[in-house]
Amino acid sequence: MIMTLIRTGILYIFVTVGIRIMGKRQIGDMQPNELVVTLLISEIAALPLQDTTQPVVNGIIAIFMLVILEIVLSIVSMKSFRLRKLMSGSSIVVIKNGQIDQSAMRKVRMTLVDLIELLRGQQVFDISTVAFAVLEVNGSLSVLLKNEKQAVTTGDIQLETPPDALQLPVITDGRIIKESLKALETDRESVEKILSTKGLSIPEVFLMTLDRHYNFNIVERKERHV
Amino acid sequence: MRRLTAAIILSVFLAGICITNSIVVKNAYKNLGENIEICRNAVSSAEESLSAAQHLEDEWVQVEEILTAFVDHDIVDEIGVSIARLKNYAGVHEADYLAECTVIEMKLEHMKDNAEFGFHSFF
Repeated sequence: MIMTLIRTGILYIFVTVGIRIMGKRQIGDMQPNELVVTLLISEIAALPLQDTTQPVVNGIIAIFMLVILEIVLSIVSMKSFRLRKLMSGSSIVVIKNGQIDQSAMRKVRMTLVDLIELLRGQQVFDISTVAFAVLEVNGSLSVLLKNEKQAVTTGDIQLETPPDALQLPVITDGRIIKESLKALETDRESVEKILSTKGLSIPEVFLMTLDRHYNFNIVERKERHV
Repeated sequence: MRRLTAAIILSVFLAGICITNSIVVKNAYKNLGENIEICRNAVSSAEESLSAAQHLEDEWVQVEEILTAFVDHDIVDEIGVSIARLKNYAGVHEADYLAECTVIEMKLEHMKDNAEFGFHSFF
Protein backbone atom coordinates (compact mmCIF):
# COMPACT_ATOMS: atom_id res chain seq x y z
CA MET A 1 0.00 0.00 0.00
CA ILE A 2 2.80 2.41 0.96
CA MET A 3 4.41 1.73 -2.43
CA THR A 4 1.25 2.88 -4.21
CA LEU A 5 1.37 6.12 -2.23
CA ILE A 6 5.01 6.73 -3.14
CA ARG A 7 4.47 5.78 -6.79
CA THR A 8 1.47 8.13 -6.96
CA GLY A 9 3.59 10.96 -5.56
CA ILE A 10 6.41 10.31 -8.05
CA LEU A 11 4.07 10.14 -11.04
CA TYR A 12 2.15 13.22 -9.87
CA ILE A 13 5.39 15.22 -9.92
CA PHE A 14 6.41 13.96 -13.36
CA VAL A 15 2.95 14.48 -14.91
CA THR A 16 2.78 18.01 -13.49
CA VAL A 17 6.25 18.82 -14.84
CA GLY A 18 5.30 17.37 -18.24
CA ILE A 19 2.03 19.29 -18.51
CA ARG A 20 3.74 22.47 -17.26
CA ILE A 21 6.45 22.19 -19.94
CA MET A 22 3.77 21.72 -22.61
CA GLY A 23 2.34 25.12 -21.67
CA LYS A 24 -0.88 26.53 -20.29
CA ARG A 25 -4.06 25.73 -22.19
CA GLN A 26 -7.65 25.17 -21.23
CA ILE A 27 -9.05 21.83 -22.41
CA GLY A 28 -11.49 23.71 -24.68
CA ASP A 29 -8.71 25.74 -26.30
CA MET A 30 -6.54 22.76 -27.18
CA GLN A 31 -5.67 21.80 -30.71
CA PRO A 32 -6.60 18.19 -31.60
CA ASN A 33 -3.04 16.88 -31.20
CA GLU A 34 -2.65 18.62 -27.82
CA LEU A 35 -5.86 17.04 -26.61
CA VAL A 36 -4.68 13.60 -27.74
CA VAL A 37 -1.35 14.04 -25.92
CA THR A 38 -3.09 15.21 -22.72
CA LEU A 39 -5.47 12.25 -22.75
CA LEU A 40 -2.61 9.84 -23.46
CA ILE A 41 -0.51 11.25 -20.63
CA SER A 42 -3.32 10.79 -18.10
CA GLU A 43 -3.90 7.24 -19.36
CA ILE A 44 -0.20 6.30 -19.28
CA ALA A 45 0.24 7.77 -15.79
CA ALA A 46 -2.62 5.58 -14.54
CA LEU A 47 -1.00 2.34 -15.74
CA PRO A 48 1.91 2.09 -13.24
CA LEU A 49 -0.45 3.30 -10.50
CA GLN A 50 -2.94 0.49 -11.10
CA ASP A 51 -0.36 -2.18 -11.78
CA THR A 52 2.46 -2.10 -9.24
CA THR A 53 4.36 -4.80 -11.16
CA GLN A 54 5.12 -2.20 -13.84
CA PRO A 55 8.26 -0.15 -13.26
CA VAL A 56 7.45 3.55 -12.73
CA VAL A 57 10.22 4.45 -15.13
CA ASN A 58 8.17 2.95 -18.01
CA GLY A 59 5.41 5.49 -17.35
CA ILE A 60 7.86 8.37 -16.95
CA ILE A 61 9.61 7.58 -20.24
CA ALA A 62 6.31 7.45 -22.14
CA ILE A 63 5.05 10.70 -20.57
CA PHE A 64 8.24 12.62 -21.33
CA MET A 65 8.42 11.21 -24.85
CA LEU A 66 4.91 12.52 -25.55
CA VAL A 67 5.88 15.91 -24.11
CA ILE A 68 8.99 16.04 -26.32
CA LEU A 69 6.99 15.09 -29.42
CA GLU A 70 4.37 17.72 -28.59
CA ILE A 71 7.01 20.45 -28.15
CA VAL A 72 8.89 19.48 -31.33
CA LEU A 73 5.65 19.31 -33.31
CA SER A 74 4.49 22.70 -32.02
CA ILE A 75 7.85 24.26 -32.94
CA VAL A 76 7.82 22.71 -36.43
CA SER A 77 4.17 23.74 -36.95
CA MET A 78 5.06 27.32 -36.12
CA LYS A 79 7.50 27.27 -39.04
CA SER A 80 5.40 25.20 -41.46
CA PHE A 81 1.93 26.31 -42.47
CA ARG A 82 1.26 23.00 -44.23
CA LEU A 83 2.05 20.94 -41.16
CA ARG A 84 -0.05 23.24 -38.98
CA LYS A 85 -2.97 22.79 -41.35
CA LEU A 86 -2.44 19.03 -41.42
CA MET A 87 -2.25 18.69 -37.64
CA SER A 88 -4.86 21.20 -36.56
CA GLY A 89 -7.05 21.73 -39.62
CA SER A 90 -8.15 25.21 -40.61
CA SER A 91 -10.98 27.52 -39.65
CA ILE A 92 -14.03 27.60 -41.93
CA VAL A 93 -16.60 30.31 -42.67
CA VAL A 94 -20.08 28.99 -41.92
CA ILE A 95 -22.10 32.22 -42.31
CA LYS A 96 -21.49 34.80 -45.03
CA ASN A 97 -23.57 37.98 -45.07
CA GLY A 98 -26.31 36.41 -42.97
CA GLN A 99 -26.49 33.33 -45.20
CA ILE A 100 -25.59 29.94 -43.81
CA ASP A 101 -23.03 28.13 -45.97
CA GLN A 102 -24.60 24.68 -45.99
CA SER A 103 -21.75 22.99 -47.85
CA ALA A 104 -19.28 24.31 -45.26
CA MET A 105 -21.51 22.97 -42.49
CA ARG A 106 -21.66 19.56 -44.18
CA LYS A 107 -17.90 19.62 -44.51
CA VAL A 108 -17.39 20.13 -40.77
CA ARG A 109 -20.37 17.86 -39.91
CA MET A 110 -22.08 20.63 -37.99
CA THR A 111 -25.81 20.58 -37.37
CA LEU A 112 -28.04 23.63 -37.43
CA VAL A 113 -28.74 23.12 -33.72
CA ASP A 114 -24.98 23.24 -33.01
CA LEU A 115 -24.63 26.45 -35.01
CA ILE A 116 -27.57 28.17 -33.33
CA GLU A 117 -26.27 27.09 -29.93
CA LEU A 118 -22.81 28.52 -30.66
CA LEU A 119 -24.35 31.76 -31.95
CA ARG A 120 -26.43 32.10 -28.79
CA GLY A 121 -23.20 31.65 -26.84
CA GLN A 122 -21.94 34.75 -28.67
CA GLN A 123 -25.13 36.67 -27.77
CA VAL A 124 -26.42 36.42 -31.34
CA PHE A 125 -30.08 35.44 -31.61
CA ASP A 126 -30.76 36.51 -35.21
CA ILE A 127 -28.66 34.95 -37.98
CA SER A 128 -29.48 37.81 -40.38
CA THR A 129 -27.45 40.20 -38.16
CA VAL A 130 -24.26 38.19 -38.77
CA ALA A 131 -21.83 39.37 -41.42
CA PHE A 132 -19.43 36.46 -40.95
CA ALA A 133 -19.23 33.50 -38.59
CA VAL A 134 -16.06 31.44 -38.54
CA LEU A 135 -15.78 28.01 -36.97
CA GLU A 136 -12.30 27.94 -35.44
CA VAL A 137 -10.10 24.84 -35.27
CA ASN A 138 -10.71 24.47 -31.53
CA GLY A 139 -14.49 24.30 -32.15
CA SER A 140 -15.37 27.82 -31.02
CA LEU A 141 -17.33 30.23 -33.22
CA SER A 142 -16.09 33.74 -33.98
CA VAL A 143 -18.82 36.14 -35.05
CA LEU A 144 -18.61 39.49 -36.86
CA LEU A 145 -21.89 41.36 -36.82
CA LYS A 146 -23.03 43.48 -39.75
CA ASN A 147 -21.89 47.11 -39.46
CA GLU A 148 -25.38 48.42 -38.71
CA LYS A 149 -25.80 45.88 -35.90
CA GLN A 150 -22.51 46.51 -34.11
CA ALA A 151 -22.43 48.35 -30.80
CA VAL A 152 -21.27 51.94 -30.88
CA THR A 153 -17.79 52.46 -29.45
CA THR A 154 -16.35 55.59 -27.83
CA GLY A 155 -14.13 55.85 -30.91
CA ASP A 156 -17.18 55.95 -33.22
CA ILE A 157 -18.65 58.97 -31.39
CA GLN A 158 -15.21 60.49 -30.82
CA LEU A 159 -15.66 60.62 -27.08
CA GLU A 160 -12.65 61.64 -24.97
CA THR A 161 -11.73 58.87 -22.55
CA PRO A 162 -8.98 58.61 -19.96
CA PRO A 163 -5.87 56.77 -21.23
CA ASP A 164 -5.90 53.01 -20.88
CA ALA A 165 -4.21 51.74 -17.75
CA LEU A 166 -4.02 48.25 -16.39
CA GLN A 167 -4.66 47.90 -12.68
CA LEU A 168 -2.39 45.37 -11.05
CA PRO A 169 -2.57 43.93 -7.53
CA VAL A 170 0.27 45.53 -5.54
CA ILE A 171 -0.72 44.18 -2.11
CA THR A 172 -2.39 40.86 -1.46
CA ASP A 173 -3.06 39.59 2.01
CA GLY A 174 -0.79 42.20 3.60
CA ARG A 175 2.16 41.49 1.33
CA ILE A 176 3.68 43.70 -1.34
CA ILE A 177 3.98 42.11 -4.81
CA LYS A 178 7.34 43.27 -6.09
CA GLU A 179 6.67 42.13 -9.69
CA SER A 180 3.63 44.44 -9.88
CA LEU A 181 5.61 47.41 -8.51
CA LYS A 182 8.27 46.78 -11.15
CA ALA A 183 5.68 46.52 -13.95
CA LEU A 184 4.05 49.80 -12.79
CA GLU A 185 7.47 51.46 -12.44
CA THR A 186 6.73 52.50 -8.88
CA ASP A 187 8.12 51.63 -5.45
CA ARG A 188 7.13 50.62 -1.97
CA GLU A 189 7.37 54.19 -0.64
CA SER A 190 4.78 55.45 -3.16
CA VAL A 191 2.38 52.69 -2.13
CA GLU A 192 2.92 53.45 1.55
CA LYS A 193 2.28 57.14 0.85
CA ILE A 194 -1.10 56.28 -0.75
CA LEU A 195 -1.96 54.04 2.16
CA SER A 196 -1.05 56.70 4.71
CA THR A 197 -3.67 59.04 3.17
CA LYS A 198 -6.22 56.37 4.14
CA GLY A 199 -4.63 55.82 7.55
CA LEU A 200 -3.53 52.29 6.65
CA SER A 201 -0.31 50.31 6.65
CA ILE A 202 0.65 47.41 4.34
CA PRO A 203 -0.23 44.58 6.78
CA GLU A 204 -3.73 46.06 7.20
CA VAL A 205 -4.53 45.73 3.49
CA PHE A 206 -6.18 42.60 2.09
CA LEU A 207 -6.04 43.76 -1.54
CA MET A 208 -4.76 46.88 -3.23
CA THR A 209 -4.81 47.41 -6.98
CA LEU A 210 -2.99 50.26 -8.67
CA ASP A 211 -2.41 51.59 -12.19
CA ARG A 212 0.24 53.82 -13.77
CA HIS A 213 -1.86 56.91 -13.13
CA TYR A 214 -2.05 56.07 -9.42
CA ASN A 215 -5.75 55.17 -9.55
CA PHE A 216 -6.25 52.61 -6.84
CA ASN A 217 -8.69 50.37 -5.02
CA ILE A 218 -8.17 49.17 -1.47
CA VAL A 219 -9.86 46.34 0.39
CA GLU A 220 -9.05 46.41 4.10
CA ARG A 221 -8.10 43.25 5.90
CA LYS A 222 -10.65 42.07 8.43
CA GLU A 223 -9.53 40.77 11.80
CA ARG A 224 -9.75 37.01 12.09
CA HIS A 225 -12.20 35.81 14.73
CA VAL A 226 -10.92 32.63 16.32
CA MET B 1 13.18 28.79 -26.77
CA ARG B 2 12.69 27.75 -23.15
CA ARG B 3 10.40 24.94 -24.22
CA LEU B 4 12.96 23.77 -26.78
CA THR B 5 15.62 23.76 -24.06
CA ALA B 6 13.29 21.76 -21.82
CA ALA B 7 12.70 19.30 -24.68
CA ILE B 8 16.45 18.89 -25.22
CA ILE B 9 17.04 18.33 -21.48
CA LEU B 10 14.21 15.78 -21.40
CA SER B 11 15.63 14.02 -24.47
CA VAL B 12 19.02 13.71 -22.79
CA PHE B 13 17.33 12.43 -19.62
CA LEU B 14 15.36 9.82 -21.60
CA ALA B 15 18.42 8.76 -23.59
CA GLY B 16 20.26 8.30 -20.29
CA ILE B 17 17.48 6.11 -18.88
CA CYS B 18 17.30 4.02 -22.08
CA ILE B 19 21.07 3.49 -22.25
CA THR B 20 21.23 2.59 -18.53
CA ASN B 21 18.34 0.17 -19.00
CA SER B 22 20.08 -1.51 -21.91
CA ILE B 23 23.43 -1.78 -20.09
CA VAL B 24 21.89 -3.09 -16.85
CA VAL B 25 19.80 -5.75 -18.60
CA LYS B 26 22.62 -6.85 -20.94
CA ASN B 27 25.12 -7.15 -18.08
CA ALA B 28 22.65 -9.09 -15.95
CA TYR B 29 21.91 -11.41 -18.89
CA LYS B 30 25.62 -11.97 -19.55
CA ASN B 31 26.67 -12.59 -15.92
CA LEU B 32 23.71 -14.78 -15.03
CA GLY B 33 23.98 -16.64 -18.35
CA GLU B 34 27.60 -17.53 -17.57
CA ASN B 35 26.60 -18.73 -14.10
CA ILE B 36 23.85 -20.91 -15.54
CA GLU B 37 26.39 -22.51 -17.85
CA ILE B 38 28.58 -23.26 -14.80
CA CYS B 39 25.53 -24.76 -13.04
CA ARG B 40 24.84 -26.96 -16.07
CA ASN B 41 28.42 -28.22 -16.22
CA ALA B 42 28.36 -29.02 -12.49
CA VAL B 43 25.26 -31.21 -12.66
CA SER B 44 27.11 -34.51 -12.16
CA SER B 45 28.50 -33.52 -8.75
CA ALA B 46 26.05 -32.79 -5.93
CA GLU B 47 28.48 -30.54 -4.10
CA GLU B 48 29.55 -28.60 -7.17
CA SER B 49 25.99 -28.13 -8.43
CA LEU B 50 24.87 -26.80 -5.04
CA SER B 51 27.84 -24.44 -4.92
CA ALA B 52 27.15 -23.25 -8.49
CA ALA B 53 23.46 -22.68 -7.68
CA GLN B 54 24.44 -20.77 -4.54
CA HIS B 55 26.81 -18.62 -6.59
CA LEU B 56 24.05 -17.97 -9.11
CA GLU B 57 21.71 -16.92 -6.30
CA ASP B 58 24.33 -14.55 -4.85
CA GLU B 59 24.82 -13.03 -8.28
CA TRP B 60 21.05 -12.67 -8.65
CA VAL B 61 20.65 -10.90 -5.29
CA GLN B 62 23.16 -8.31 -6.46
CA VAL B 63 21.35 -7.46 -9.72
CA GLU B 64 17.73 -8.01 -8.67
CA GLU B 65 17.20 -4.61 -7.07
CA ILE B 66 18.46 -2.59 -10.01
CA LEU B 67 16.58 -4.80 -12.48
CA THR B 68 13.24 -4.04 -10.78
CA ALA B 69 13.71 -0.37 -11.75
CA PHE B 70 13.63 -1.26 -15.45
CA VAL B 71 12.09 -4.70 -15.92
CA ASP B 72 8.52 -5.86 -15.32
CA HIS B 73 8.44 -7.01 -11.68
CA ASP B 74 6.62 -10.23 -12.64
CA ILE B 75 9.57 -11.38 -14.78
CA VAL B 76 12.04 -10.49 -12.01
CA ASP B 77 9.97 -12.44 -9.46
CA GLU B 78 9.71 -15.46 -11.78
CA ILE B 79 13.49 -15.58 -12.28
CA GLY B 80 14.03 -15.26 -8.52
CA VAL B 81 11.66 -18.16 -7.82
CA SER B 82 13.33 -20.33 -10.50
CA ILE B 83 16.78 -19.69 -9.02
CA ALA B 84 15.51 -20.64 -5.54
CA ARG B 85 14.01 -23.82 -7.02
CA LEU B 86 17.30 -24.63 -8.78
CA LYS B 87 19.09 -24.61 -5.44
CA ASN B 88 16.65 -27.18 -4.04
CA TYR B 89 17.08 -29.47 -7.06
CA ALA B 90 20.91 -29.37 -6.84
CA GLY B 91 22.32 -32.85 -6.14
CA VAL B 92 18.80 -34.32 -5.73
CA HIS B 93 16.93 -34.21 -9.06
CA GLU B 94 19.37 -33.92 -11.95
CA ALA B 95 16.71 -33.75 -14.68
CA ASP B 96 14.69 -31.08 -12.84
CA TYR B 97 17.93 -29.19 -12.13
CA LEU B 98 18.81 -29.08 -15.83
CA ALA B 99 15.25 -28.18 -16.79
CA GLU B 100 15.26 -25.31 -14.31
CA CYS B 101 18.55 -24.06 -15.79
CA THR B 102 16.86 -23.92 -19.20
CA VAL B 103 13.80 -22.16 -17.73
CA ILE B 104 15.98 -19.48 -16.10
CA GLU B 105 17.91 -19.06 -19.33
CA MET B 106 14.73 -18.60 -21.34
CA LYS B 107 13.34 -16.08 -18.84
CA LEU B 108 16.57 -14.12 -19.00
CA GLU B 109 16.40 -14.25 -22.79
CA HIS B 110 12.82 -12.95 -22.64
CA MET B 111 13.89 -10.13 -20.33
CA LYS B 112 16.75 -9.19 -22.64
CA ASP B 113 14.53 -9.30 -25.74
CA ASN B 114 12.05 -6.89 -24.14
CA ALA B 115 14.81 -4.40 -23.39
CA GLU B 116 16.51 -4.75 -26.75
CA PHE B 117 15.87 -2.71 -29.86
CA GLY B 118 14.36 -5.23 -32.27
CA PHE B 119 11.50 -5.87 -34.67
CA HIS B 120 9.63 -8.15 -32.23
CA SER B 121 9.59 -5.40 -29.56
CA PHE B 122 7.65 -2.96 -31.73
CA PHE B 123 4.50 -5.07 -31.96
